[in-house]
Amino acid sequence: MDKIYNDTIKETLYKEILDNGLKVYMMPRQNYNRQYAIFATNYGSIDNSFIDPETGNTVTVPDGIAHFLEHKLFEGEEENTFSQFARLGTSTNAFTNFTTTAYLFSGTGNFQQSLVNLLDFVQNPYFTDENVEKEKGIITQEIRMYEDDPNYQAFFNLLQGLYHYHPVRIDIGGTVESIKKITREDLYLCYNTFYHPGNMILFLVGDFDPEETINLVKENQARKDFPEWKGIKRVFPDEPPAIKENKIEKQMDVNQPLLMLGFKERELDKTERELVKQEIGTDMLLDLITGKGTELYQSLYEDGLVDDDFDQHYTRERGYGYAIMGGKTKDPEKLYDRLLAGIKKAKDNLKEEDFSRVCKKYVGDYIESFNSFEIIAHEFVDYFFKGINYFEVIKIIQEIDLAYLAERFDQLFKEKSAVRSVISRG
Amino acid sequence: MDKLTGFTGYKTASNLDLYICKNPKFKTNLIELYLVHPLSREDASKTALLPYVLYRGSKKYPTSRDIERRLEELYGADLNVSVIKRGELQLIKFSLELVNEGFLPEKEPLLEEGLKLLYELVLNPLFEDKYVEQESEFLKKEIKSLVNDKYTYAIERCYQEMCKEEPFGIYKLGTLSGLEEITSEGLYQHYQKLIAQNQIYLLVVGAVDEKSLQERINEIFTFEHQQPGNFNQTRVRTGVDKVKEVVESLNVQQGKLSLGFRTGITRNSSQYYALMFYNGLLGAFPHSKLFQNVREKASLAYYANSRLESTKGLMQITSGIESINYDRAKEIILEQVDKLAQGEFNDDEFDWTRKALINHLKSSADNNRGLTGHYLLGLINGKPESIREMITELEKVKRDEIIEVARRIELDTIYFLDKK
Repeated sequence: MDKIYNDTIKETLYKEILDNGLKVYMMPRQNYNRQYAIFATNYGSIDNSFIDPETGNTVTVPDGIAHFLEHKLFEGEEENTFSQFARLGTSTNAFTNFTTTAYLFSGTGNFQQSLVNLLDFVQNPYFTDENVEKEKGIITQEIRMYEDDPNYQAFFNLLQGLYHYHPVRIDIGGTVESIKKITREDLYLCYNTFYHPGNMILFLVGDFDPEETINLVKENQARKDFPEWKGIKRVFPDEPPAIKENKIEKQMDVNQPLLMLGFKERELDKTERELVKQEIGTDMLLDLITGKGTELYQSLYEDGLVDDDFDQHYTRERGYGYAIMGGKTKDPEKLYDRLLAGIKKAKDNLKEEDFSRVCKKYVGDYIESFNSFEIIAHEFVDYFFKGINYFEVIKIIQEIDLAYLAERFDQLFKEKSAVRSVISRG
Repeated sequence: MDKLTGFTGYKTASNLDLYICKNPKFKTNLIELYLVHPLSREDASKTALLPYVLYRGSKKYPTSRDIERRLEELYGADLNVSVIKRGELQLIKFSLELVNEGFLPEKEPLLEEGLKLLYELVLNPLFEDKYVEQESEFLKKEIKSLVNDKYTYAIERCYQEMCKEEPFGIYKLGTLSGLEEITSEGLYQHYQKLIAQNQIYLLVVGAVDEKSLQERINEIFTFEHQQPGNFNQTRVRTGVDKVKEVVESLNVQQGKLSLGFRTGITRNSSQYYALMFYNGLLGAFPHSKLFQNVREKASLAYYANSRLESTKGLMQITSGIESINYDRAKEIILEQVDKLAQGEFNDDEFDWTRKALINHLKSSADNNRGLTGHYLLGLINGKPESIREMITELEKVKRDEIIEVARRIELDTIYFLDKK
């Protein structure tokens, strides 16, 4: 096992790659009561088109299938998965996003048995026509819940304005219509393509012994047969650099309208490390433009155009990236104009003094993230699938300078690259 | 090593109740300050407005921008200002989390600077008329936009209908008409009264030295203050004459069903542990009756759960369903409630619930906000209790005690947010 020590946060990480390709990372935290495990595959809602390893044909699967599959892996031939964990006094859960599907458990005892359960339930799919049908009612209600969430609606409408073809524009859960088409065969096809250990990571944090634990995982994996890992051929459409639509509006039963303003990333051809630097650097840039410590934010606040919930962030994954800012507002059009005007002027206001303050904030937030097992584990998996160890992120933060932010400014804020998504009172 | 660290209580020089949880595991120090005020129609809006006005500027940091910049300098310290409701109490909450200085590249006294900043904001405010006016407008919008979030809206509306005649029915942010009546002078007087004679708690969690922390607090928090006596006057009501049914229609895709109950049991009752068990069996976990029957068996919902309000003695069941399934969902939910009253739960359900409750409590001892949240509820209910003590009590609960509690619980109000 490799051991990596991080001098900033004063913690040690253990690493091992198993014969079947599974990557295992462990961060013991012996003064905690808890153990937290996450078993994740590099497979999310955007992976809706790929080469079928059996036939060699390109297939496109129904929208929402990665998320549907996440629900269905909890189905067991004998006892259902929730009960297996409940018996041990630990709790299990899962989530799906654009790029990742992750299964997890959290407990304060019975760690080894829970870990075996986690590996076993994810690696033993049991889909029947009947249990697939049953899930449709539950997921329909999950989709309906998001249909009533104005923030979620504003977000996906924005992505639909930014992207012509890229599957990031599709709702992670799909639609009530698309999930109706999902069959047991579709689920097995996706499972067999994306749930090979070579495409997965196991991350563990908490009170446990790393030597014992790695042996347990090795034994468990050695008992299972997997075909040779040949990688995955994902198929993505060609996405033009320009936006699709500059304004999307939807009416909902809200009291205050919402505005989300988005900018599409065009600089996509980057190495793994450059990609993460771009993500953190651009996030810092946004903090310097509309963060709570800026003049622009303060003037918008004083004029009643934004409230305390106003937020900005930048997302960057392989193949796409976008900056988003916004929140509740009394006047979406006025806020849009003021934000665009403010951004235009912001480049001349990038100052070393402000930059060094924002840097301190990023260092502090990084250290603070190691308090929470959820945050550490999720960040670790997220960065791992981008090709970077989360332990290294502090170095990337320290590499960024003001000149880099100025360069990013010119690349991101081009003419006609803004999309606004508005939720109005209806 | 005790990994379920508890709080130790102190009195500061200014007569504040200070509770410290010394805990080496965290990378940060968390400081929480609570100002407690009885929930009333007269004062609710004033109390709710106050923290947002304080957050706008102090004598040393006259604008929000100055405050934000100071927070960034302190390595991105997180400051959250909010208003919460526990029973018939309204609590103003300032929560400040700072990196433990031991992890900094250069040594800086972050905790001390954080305490000074907190003092500035709470006790040295600027209180400009402009801030009062602007924040009053924001709060009005905030009250109105409760409806934006349908999940929270349905929960709040159910309790409002249920407790129409009681202070608990008042929204934590007060009312629009209450805000209309506020003047700068009136608000400032309210502030002075609150600071001088209301209950104030200061809670700290982190790898701190208790003695030097107390000294710093005594130096920094110097003001005239008298802690009051019996400040929690929450009235616990039982005895429902007739179940109320309320339907409200909005332009939504999903209906939200909320059932409000009176448990009559609060956190300082000896039956509270059995009530926690009851809630666990009914709807707090995936193995609970509601999740298993409403979601897994009937496929009617994505979520169906129950939660306790432990200061007023209430419980609410919530579920998001298709409107046409209203009768069926209601029937299945009430059937689960009835089963528990009949003692229909098996040894697995009992055993799994006990383990899940204990797992949940131990886990909250790994989370600084989990620790403060737990301890605060004990404090305001007159029964401060460590997580370890609560686990010990839970271990003792017997089946019969749960059934006894189950029989006491009364349905009061059924609220349905329907599709137009």
